[in-house]
Amino acid sequence: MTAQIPLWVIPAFPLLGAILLGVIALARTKSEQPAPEAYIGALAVFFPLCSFVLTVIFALGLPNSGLTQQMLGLPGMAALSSGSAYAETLGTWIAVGNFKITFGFLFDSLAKVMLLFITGITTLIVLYSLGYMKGDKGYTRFLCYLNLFLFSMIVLVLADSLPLTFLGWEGVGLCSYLLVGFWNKDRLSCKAANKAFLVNRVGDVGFLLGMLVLIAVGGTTLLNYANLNEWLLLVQPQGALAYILALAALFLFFACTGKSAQIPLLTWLPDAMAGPTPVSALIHAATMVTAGIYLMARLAPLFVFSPGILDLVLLIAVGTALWAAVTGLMQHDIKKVLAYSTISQLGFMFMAVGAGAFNVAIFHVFTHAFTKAALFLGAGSVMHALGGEQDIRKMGGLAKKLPSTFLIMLLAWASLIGLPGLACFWSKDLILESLRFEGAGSLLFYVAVFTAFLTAVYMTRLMVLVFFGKFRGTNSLAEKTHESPIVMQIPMWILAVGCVFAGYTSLFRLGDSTMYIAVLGSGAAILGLVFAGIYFSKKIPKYSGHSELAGFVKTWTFAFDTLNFIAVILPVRIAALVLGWVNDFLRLTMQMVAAIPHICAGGLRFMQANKLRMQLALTILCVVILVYWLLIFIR
Amino acid sequence: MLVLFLFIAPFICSCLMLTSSRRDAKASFKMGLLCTALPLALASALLAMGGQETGSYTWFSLLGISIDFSLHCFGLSLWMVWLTTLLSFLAFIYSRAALGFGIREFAIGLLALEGTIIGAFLSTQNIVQFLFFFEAMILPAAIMIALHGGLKRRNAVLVFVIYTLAGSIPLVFAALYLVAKAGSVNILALVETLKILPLSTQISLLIAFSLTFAVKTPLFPLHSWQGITYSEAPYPLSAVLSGAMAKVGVFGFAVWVIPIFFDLLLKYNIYFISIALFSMLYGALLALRQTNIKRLLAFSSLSHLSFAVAGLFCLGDVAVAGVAVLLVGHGLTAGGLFFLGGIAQKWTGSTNIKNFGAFASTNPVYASIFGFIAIAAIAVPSTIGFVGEFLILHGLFNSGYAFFAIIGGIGIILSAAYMLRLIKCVLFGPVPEKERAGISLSPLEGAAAIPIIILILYFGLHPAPILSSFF
Repeated sequence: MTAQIPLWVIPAFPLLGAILLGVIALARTKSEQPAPEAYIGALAVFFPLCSFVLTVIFALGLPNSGLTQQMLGLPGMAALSSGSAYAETLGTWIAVGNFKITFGFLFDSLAKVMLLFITGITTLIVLYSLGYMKGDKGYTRFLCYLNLFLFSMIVLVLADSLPLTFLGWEGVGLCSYLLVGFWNKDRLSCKAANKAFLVNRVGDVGFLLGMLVLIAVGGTTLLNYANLNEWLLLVQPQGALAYILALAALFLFFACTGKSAQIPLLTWLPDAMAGPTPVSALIHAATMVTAGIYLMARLAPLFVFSPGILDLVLLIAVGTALWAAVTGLMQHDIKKVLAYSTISQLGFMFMAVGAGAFNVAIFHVFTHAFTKAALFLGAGSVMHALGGEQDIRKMGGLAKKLPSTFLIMLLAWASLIGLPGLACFWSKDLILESLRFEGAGSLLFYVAVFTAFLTAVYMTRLMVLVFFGKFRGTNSLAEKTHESPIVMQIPMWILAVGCVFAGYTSLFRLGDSTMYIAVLGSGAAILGLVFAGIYFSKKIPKYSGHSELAGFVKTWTFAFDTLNFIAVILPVRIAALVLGWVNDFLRLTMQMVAAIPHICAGGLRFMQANKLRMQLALTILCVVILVYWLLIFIR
Repeated sequence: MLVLFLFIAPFICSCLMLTSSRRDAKASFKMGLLCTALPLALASALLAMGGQETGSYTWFSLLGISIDFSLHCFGLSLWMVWLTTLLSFLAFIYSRAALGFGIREFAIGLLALEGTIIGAFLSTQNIVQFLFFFEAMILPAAIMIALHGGLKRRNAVLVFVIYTLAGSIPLVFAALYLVAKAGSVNILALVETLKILPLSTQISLLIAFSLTFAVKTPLFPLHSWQGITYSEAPYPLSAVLSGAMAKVGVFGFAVWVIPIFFDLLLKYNIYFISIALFSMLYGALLALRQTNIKRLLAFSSLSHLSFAVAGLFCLGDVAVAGVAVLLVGHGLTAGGLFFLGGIAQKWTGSTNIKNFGAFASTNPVYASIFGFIAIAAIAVPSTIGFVGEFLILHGLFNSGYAFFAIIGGIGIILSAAYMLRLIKCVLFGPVPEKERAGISLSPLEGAAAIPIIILILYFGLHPAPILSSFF
């Protein structure tokens, strides 16, 4: 059945949706009447749903053997010939002489896993947005951007070569920019959007350079994943070649730190929370930020053959996870807590990558997507109920008022901190497992366990402050508090079910875990839970009148912002200032040169003065000279 | 024959415009539309044919050297000519909104300018002929600035004329010296003659040629004429100046400097790349600080065209093809932004981007078009800019100094920084108190942006038409 459907249909649906909704949004700008939300909403959900259904059809067509470590290395001819992948080439993109880049799609086990949850969760979140964005002036525009995002994300994942992945990569970055700055009357949103785009852009240049290194090594054919992996397995690079490949791997990893918010390019993600909450759930938690992990899994052989790079990845991952967990502990904004939690969890995924367990990383991407999406949507539901309040110090006791949201978030919370049996427990356990037997030393393993403990602490703090105790907001707000509409609740419940069962999927084939690591991991979670539960139900942080951070908390939270400012922004500003002076100097000298004809003209005008006597005197003088000269000449 | 028609058409149309009504602006606008559309139609037909050349006619002869006249329209020339006619056509459409008066005079000047620019692009064999058009294009541009320019137009005209005329002196002398030595004006003869000259003379000639084209492009530190000229010229003219005329500088590097001095450049190209890349960073950093939209776009042009020059001096075929794509892309994006900037100025009565803002809320259609073109200027993949930048970066990486690619990368990041700042200032922010109800994009102006958008996407996804004219 799947043989008849071409792969490009999967991204074509949301693209069509985006174009259609975009045209509607633009066409209706003049009319005072708001757009009919029901029709537009139905349209907006229809296209992602089609993609999801198609993905399922394709997935069923593939022999389901579960994603294994070996398969990541072989998305090429081996997979194709064994019938466990679909591939198609659409046409040429850039062709100059030997330089040849094509459009092509590849649907293998990795793409299958990614696409299933991407299209599925996007459909759910678009559905949720129908309720969340109801009445907003930019309703249609918002849904158009979501469809455009889904298109870019599908292209990113489904591409069979680096340049096409890059198209999706920058496409999702662009959509993220548009959606973070969605409420563009607010200058802060615009600033956050610009920051998100720019920081990602820095990483993207790494992507470009990484591709250039690969082209230099073996021509543009190496940009194709299948060719690259086959070539690597054939050549088994050693020595100098391996170090050149390590350079490519380093550049590409740099790009991943941008998209997946790792040290040093992580500062944009917390700011990106300025966007509407469904966006935070979809783009900045579940899908786009995992693109970095996807890319590294896609290029697994390259990273394996690059000496030293995976150790660096591991180090950065552990550092990021720990730093973000500590930061999450100190935030008062419900979305900021979740944002830092996302950074920390992405750190866990990169730990698995650093340890060489690429399939485990993707497994955590999968389980985390459900969990974090549910948490964010829950947070959105809380904010929706409280009229946009985000400060957790002003919440409390919401369990009774929002029972459904509470239950959903409880499940997601239990999954995220890794209570045994729930989705993230399985993946986190395997990450710890892979770290334990990695040569990088057991210190990192214990840091990871400690970070898992911290995860439990900050998540429990969040839950206690939001749902337990007494309501600490104003009375008028307490009366208005209401549960979200059904259209928002359905997707949340589906995701909550995912939080419970996503760990039992047959999409992966993973190793068994050791008992004591499972005990250690869940022990850390339970310890953190109990500690935070007792501590924060007694000591509730007081709302001090302003929501800005201060003192050490501020220094710690903005450590990397400060670092980026000193290392990048300040030098750029100074250079711009100095060059501005240079430019003024050049302009001044030019003005002086330009003034020369002015001065000459002025002088001549003086000679040609319109004073009669002067004119007459000059004429007489000239005549005298002329006559004198003539006399001499004649004689 | 078609290429000859194309060459003559703007001049004839310019004369035809003289007959149009001075009083009835509507009638002269319609006539101007036809007159600017004709060269575009001819250029498009030529594009479809894949280029053409004329035979050699004797023009005049001087000191025993016979100077021929011939037109050649292939590869880079073809695309630049097409871009020039397209931009002139669009510039005329937008001129009705941007200019308060004198549509007829603007059309006459614009067509004359278009003709001379096309003349320069078509003169790829004969250096005297090239020089003729290279100098000639300054005149109509200066007259148009003087007629329609801003408050400081006198100063601008003076700076523009003196700077660019003085800038071409080195080329005139160097070219005449070479011609006298060779006894011919043909490029092949010049290439052969250069080889027998002593090295020091060769280097002096190279520097002289480069100085002139560096003024025209412009490259740092010879760019000072650009800021004031672009900012005093009316918006549609700025679009043509940056989108078409400035490219004669890059074109000069590609068609004269590199073929004539190729052997020399194999050794010395690193200096050219360094200067061009520095110029790129310089333009981008200065663009970051500008508040005048025209100056911002002027420095953005400086940055982009410097990058194109850097790509040329990689001396690789792939990079040169990339440069062609980048130039077409830059013409579309820079031209588009100048056009739309002019509309914003008409609405707000200001050139300061701090006074714009909130068009996304008040004029979503305008904001979408502006936003799209500005994002395309950042060279996001699937737009034409990406193809050019990627190919040029590839050229820089393989120029023997891979480090250059990183500098180019920094320039690309900075270009995003100033463009995003521009978008933020022009489109976003709180809606100002002043009433903006009455303003909206006219259907004609909106429709004129459609070809820009379509071409940006089309060449971004399918650059083969441009690339294949190089291989």
